[in-house]
Amino acid sequence: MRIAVASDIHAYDPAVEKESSPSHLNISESASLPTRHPIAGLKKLIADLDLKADILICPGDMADKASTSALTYVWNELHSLKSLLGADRLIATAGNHDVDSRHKYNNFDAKGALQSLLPQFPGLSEQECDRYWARNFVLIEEERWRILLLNSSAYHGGGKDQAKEAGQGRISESTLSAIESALTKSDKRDLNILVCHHHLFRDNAIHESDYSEMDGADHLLRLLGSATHGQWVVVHGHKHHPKLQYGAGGSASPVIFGAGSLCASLYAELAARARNQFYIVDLDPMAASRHSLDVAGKIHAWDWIPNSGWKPAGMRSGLPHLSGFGYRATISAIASRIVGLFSTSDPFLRWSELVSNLPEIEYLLHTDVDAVLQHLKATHLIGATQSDRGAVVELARI
Amino acid sequence: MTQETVTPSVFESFNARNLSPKQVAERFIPPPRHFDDLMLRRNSLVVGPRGSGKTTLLKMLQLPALATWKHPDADRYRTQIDFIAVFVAADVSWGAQLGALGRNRLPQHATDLLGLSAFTSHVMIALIEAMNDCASGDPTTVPTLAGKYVNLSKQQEVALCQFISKNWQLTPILPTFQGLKLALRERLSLIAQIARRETVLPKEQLDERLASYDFLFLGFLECSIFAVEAFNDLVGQPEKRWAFLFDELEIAPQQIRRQLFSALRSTDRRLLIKLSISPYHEDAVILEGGGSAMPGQDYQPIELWYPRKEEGYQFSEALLKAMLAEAGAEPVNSDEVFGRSVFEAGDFERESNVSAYRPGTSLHRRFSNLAKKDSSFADYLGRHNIDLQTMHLLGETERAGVIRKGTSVIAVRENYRSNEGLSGAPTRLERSRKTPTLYTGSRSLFAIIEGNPRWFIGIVGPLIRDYMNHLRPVSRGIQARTITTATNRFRALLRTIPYSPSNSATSRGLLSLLDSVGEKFHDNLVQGPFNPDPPLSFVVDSHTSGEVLVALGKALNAGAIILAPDQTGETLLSSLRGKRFRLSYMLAPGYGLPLNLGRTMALSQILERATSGEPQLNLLKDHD
Repeated sequence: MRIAVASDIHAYDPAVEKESSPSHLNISESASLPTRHPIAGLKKLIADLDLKADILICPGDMADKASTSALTYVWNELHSLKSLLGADRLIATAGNHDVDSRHKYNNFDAKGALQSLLPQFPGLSEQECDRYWARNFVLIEEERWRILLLNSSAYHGGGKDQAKEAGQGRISESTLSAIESALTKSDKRDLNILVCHHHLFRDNAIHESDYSEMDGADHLLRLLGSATHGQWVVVHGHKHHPKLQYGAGGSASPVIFGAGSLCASLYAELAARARNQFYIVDLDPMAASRHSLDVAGKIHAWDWIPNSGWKPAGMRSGLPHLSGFGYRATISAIASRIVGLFSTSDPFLRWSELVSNLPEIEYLLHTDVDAVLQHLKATHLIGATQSDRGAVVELARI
Repeated sequence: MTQETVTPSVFESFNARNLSPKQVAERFIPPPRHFDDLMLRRNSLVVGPRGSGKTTLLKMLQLPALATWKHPDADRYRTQIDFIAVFVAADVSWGAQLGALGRNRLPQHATDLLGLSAFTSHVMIALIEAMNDCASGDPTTVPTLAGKYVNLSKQQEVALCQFISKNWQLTPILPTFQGLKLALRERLSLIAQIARRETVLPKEQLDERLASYDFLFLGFLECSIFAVEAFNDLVGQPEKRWAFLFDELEIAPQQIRRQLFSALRSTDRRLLIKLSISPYHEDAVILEGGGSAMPGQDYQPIELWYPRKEEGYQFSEALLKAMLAEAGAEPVNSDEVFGRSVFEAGDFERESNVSAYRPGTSLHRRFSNLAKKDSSFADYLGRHNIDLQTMHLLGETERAGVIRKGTSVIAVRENYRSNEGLSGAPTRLERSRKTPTLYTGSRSLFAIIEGNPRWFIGIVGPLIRDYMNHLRPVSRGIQARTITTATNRFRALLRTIPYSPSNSATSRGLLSLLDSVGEKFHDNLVQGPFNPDPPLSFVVDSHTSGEVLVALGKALNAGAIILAPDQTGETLLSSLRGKRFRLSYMLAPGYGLPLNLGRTMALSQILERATSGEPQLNLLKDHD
């Protein structure tokens, strides 16, 4: 199963947004230059590399500050990306910027603009869309996979303290209980994916004061990590800081993919650590069962470089061009297995040789790969070379 | 809110600089003579204006490009090539990076030393990459390239890299190709660090401090020879050749250009040097002095332009064929897509033995029209005893001398000349109403495109889409509009290139100079007494001012003027004086000129008579 992810687009309409440029996507700008227009660039990237996907996911914030013209623009563009990718579905969820929580455009109906989009938002059948809006979640089930689509911005524009509520995500107790009951009724699948906008726990890599995580998500994480309903992969947006990690808990804790923003302007501290990114996520249940893993996946990432277009992600872009997930073991155990592959006659080990002997390594988080390399160097005097894109090229005793 | 909406024009949208070798190979059509020459086991100097395909040609010599290239002739070229190409890109090796190395705050010799060292490091990286390609390619996938690849064991790679590291004074993390590359990247950042540090340290001990870094004194040529020799010995192919390709020399710092020009004299049989540069450069004089490299002897010049339009037709036909095939069209010839050129009637007659001169033909009509409204043309016919009614009965030699030679001139004169009896001399306004369908048809289109692949793709691409939509020849109107747009965009580009005439305090843009020439030729041809062979090219004579010379150099590099061949065979020019040029045919529709080289006129004579201060009008109304 292959999923394309375009998150936090934050498109803006310069007729409304006169002061600043919250994104590289200005909806009045000519879409003819793939080096200056992120969506035009993406179309070129998809054509050049003949990229295909089964599903295109947008985990929220299509528009900036609920601009209705930008919402319509992006929704249309996402549909054309969906057809270019040959995808069966486009699935989105509401981000805090998609909902008119500050009532700029409408005095009482914060989600009216999203609900009037055509085709119906968030891209499902009429019945499924109704369920999404009515119950704040919908479980989309196919033979091999199920997607739990959650609206973590459901209470924006309302609540006792409207401004406070708009500043965070939320999953209520009743939603949580309804989800648990829906999952219990549903058959287990090899692939279980949660799509939501807000992040599930406070996760500030930079020392910023960000308390916008989803309130109530600790219970959700416990539910998904209990192994009762299968192994889960979470895809969320909101932070603009690309991150791939495992959730807290035991061995069944979910894989959590915090997608970076497709093209929002990044504030200075973040821009030093991350880039705007587009992703293709491959989930491979066959590989998982071959290697006795609960889940096995790879993510390819591309960076948006203004005036240059989409380029394979580099080492300091957030996610590197290629990262894996699903293979969990202690760093020292992995390092020992690698050391065992060195023979006395072989002066160095190519990554391809390592993969053929230890295929699970392709599903190691890129951060774990870095940790293994450090461990190899410090404990076993084994050094490695890496390519510009962060991929390990070869290892040798130093 | 109005946003700047810039449509990429054919003159700027595409640049092979940003493409990988594999991407270049996807669509590469070899310009026959040029690519054959470049394949030869000799040093080469590829000279051409912007967009003439210099970078593409060089990049195509690399192994990964050759390996992925799908073209009917690809196997022939792959068999023929007998060197491993090492491509040194200009944009990373020089320019901004070297410019940033403490310029203006360090003495020149220090900047030069650091700059050369950075350049050497880039050459080393390119060589290591080429060695890696050569050792890691799969010989079974493309049999005609099998001989280029070598089988290098891990032990050999380590031994080679250890050997090279010592000579290049590197301490890589791992003694592998990738390890060397990383170590060279680190060296590049060290060079930048040294430059920055030296800007704040006391200047007195600068030289001592610089001298303490041994690696700063490594030369790219010696180091390359060392590594090549080590590689060749290790794989048991002592004669294996390596061609170092240096692109866009015009943007390189002068010291590097000098080193590379002198490297053309290198006599090491394992090393070839192939350089690319734009045609005009002030210090091309390096190539002229005694002891400098000699064209034909030390290197082969490869000129990427076609002074005579016929020379470019073969390449244009090949490009068209490939683009039609890509669009899914049945194979057809260019006349079936664009129709015949208006200027071609004479040739047509010669080829088919059907006289295009007999009464009732379009050519005959044009001759008769002109004779009616142009007494000077009628006089000319009278003087040569030509009766238009019996013109088609004349012998080929008679007609060739008097009539056929002037067919294009007659077509232009008839098109732009109004009726003497009605309104006297034509005004600019009258001329501007003419739609230039005069320049349509396959051969005219090819001539206007000048064999420039970038222009070809940009101009012919949309026309092919039109052809595919209707599957009939592209209408003259659509062709005319496309040509008009292209000419006007090229003119807009030339307007942005500064030129300050000595009699003017402000810059008027290069276009104003070219306009003086183009309008002079047009006025001569259309309003002067009829002349079947009027001046259409110019010689830069001794009275030409320095400012004009500089401007012409820029025009040459932009492809706005084309060097006409002469006896000296010089291709890279340090001075334009004494040389003969024509205007690019891309500009011809704007001035109303035939697509011929024509007779020659002295430039000073043209400029002297050009009316100064008069607003310059373009004959073409923009159809954008």
